[in-house]
Amino acid sequence: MSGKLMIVGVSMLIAIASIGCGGDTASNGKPAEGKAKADAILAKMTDKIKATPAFSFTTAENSDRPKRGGGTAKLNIARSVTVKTPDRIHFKATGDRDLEAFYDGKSMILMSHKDKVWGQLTAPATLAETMDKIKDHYGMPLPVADLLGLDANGKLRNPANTATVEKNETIGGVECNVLKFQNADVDWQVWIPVTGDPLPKKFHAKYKTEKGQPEATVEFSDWNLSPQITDATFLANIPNEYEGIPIIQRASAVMPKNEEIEKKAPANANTNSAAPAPAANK
Amino acid sequence: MKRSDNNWIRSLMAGTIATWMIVGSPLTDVSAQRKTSTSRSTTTRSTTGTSTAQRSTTTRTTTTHHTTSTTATGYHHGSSTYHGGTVHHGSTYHGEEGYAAVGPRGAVVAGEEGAAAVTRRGVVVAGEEGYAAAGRHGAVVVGETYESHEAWKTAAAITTGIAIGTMLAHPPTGYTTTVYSGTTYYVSGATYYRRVYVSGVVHYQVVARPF
Repeated sequence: MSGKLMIVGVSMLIAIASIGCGGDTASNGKPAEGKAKADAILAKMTDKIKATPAFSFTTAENSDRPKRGGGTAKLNIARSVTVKTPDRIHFKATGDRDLEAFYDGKSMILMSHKDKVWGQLTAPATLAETMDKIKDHYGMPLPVADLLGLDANGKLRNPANTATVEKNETIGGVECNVLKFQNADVDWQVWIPVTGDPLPKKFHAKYKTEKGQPEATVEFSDWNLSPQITDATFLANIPNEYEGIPIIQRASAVMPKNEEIEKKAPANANTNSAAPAPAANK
Repeated sequence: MKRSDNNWIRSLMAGTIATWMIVGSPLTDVSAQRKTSTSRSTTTRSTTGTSTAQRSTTTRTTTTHHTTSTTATGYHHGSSTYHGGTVHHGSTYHGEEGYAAVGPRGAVVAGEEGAAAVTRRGVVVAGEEGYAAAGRHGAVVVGETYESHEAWKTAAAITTGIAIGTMLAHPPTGYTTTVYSGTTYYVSGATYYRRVYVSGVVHYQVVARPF
């Protein structure tokens, strides 16, 4: 009996809290409605971005970097990003990262100014494919690309998402809907203004299937939907004294699959008894 | 023409000029990476101080070598990634953009995330953080990343030398640098490292002695 009373009491508290938050919560027992509403608000954001041929913004990112042997290290990265759809992006990361990248529809050039080095990789013809490639081949995910719908195969846009409009919060003086999504890979939230341009103010993600379950929080500012840009904005002007260095790809991106190897070298049973090199310390 | 193309042409011109200037002005040797050099000369300079790139306050010595090679620099402008360490012996598997080399007597075995590379001298195993690169002398090289040389020693717990392909987030302490065919090598004992991008961050990868 006392258990039932407790449940009733908690339910009433939740209901009262919902009213206090403006009624935008999906915790009213109608998850389908909550998902529909969250999806609709998110779609407004995506549609707005897709309809904008060029835009720029800055971010302050606090993210985890998984460490060998367990645990994570915190990274604070400030980034300025300029995009011209469908095939241009420039971003510059400072703070705990020193990386400037230029993508012009054909290649991406990376520059690190402290080290005075640069590298170049060939890139697909579209920004969406390029975002995928630098993530999958080169281990350089750009979390906001996924959020903004610039990443063709991002993990966020999973049809199996559960979604709610969790509450309203004020970010930088702007009242925002806080949308919460969950899928098998990522738990994530995005803060989108209730009024005005539906451009994200904040983003948080927890990548559950990645090593160390890293989290990232990104705060957006300086949205500009008509930036002054030219083609030169996306072309690297590499100082003469910078040294070109290789960009190493992830093994999984370039190594042949087991089956391919077996076909190519069936009799290649290496009988060397030399001790194996150190196994990865996971 | 892209600005980067212009830059490359400018570098070529500068490099040719630097071929003659190098003895008198060793600082111009950096541009030699993207040039054709026809002379062999050695210059030495020493610097002391703190470098943000190298995070070290040790005294460093830089030696510059020039050869007639234009392909062993490890970088080819306008191409995709890694042309350094050309595989001289054995077949090479070319990934879409990069190189994974199959040694003459070995095979490459790739897992879902990492790879195990069978080389002439045994088996190199890389896990999900593995990265592929071509070895200079035909061996498959799959590099693992470590924070530092000390971290590698702790993790590896072996007494043999650090494997070619291994990558460190920081150069080993007490290193010297040497420039060979336009590429800066970081030298610690008998081990040579060169800078590479891993996940958008500059790392130091163990390579075979370049000369």
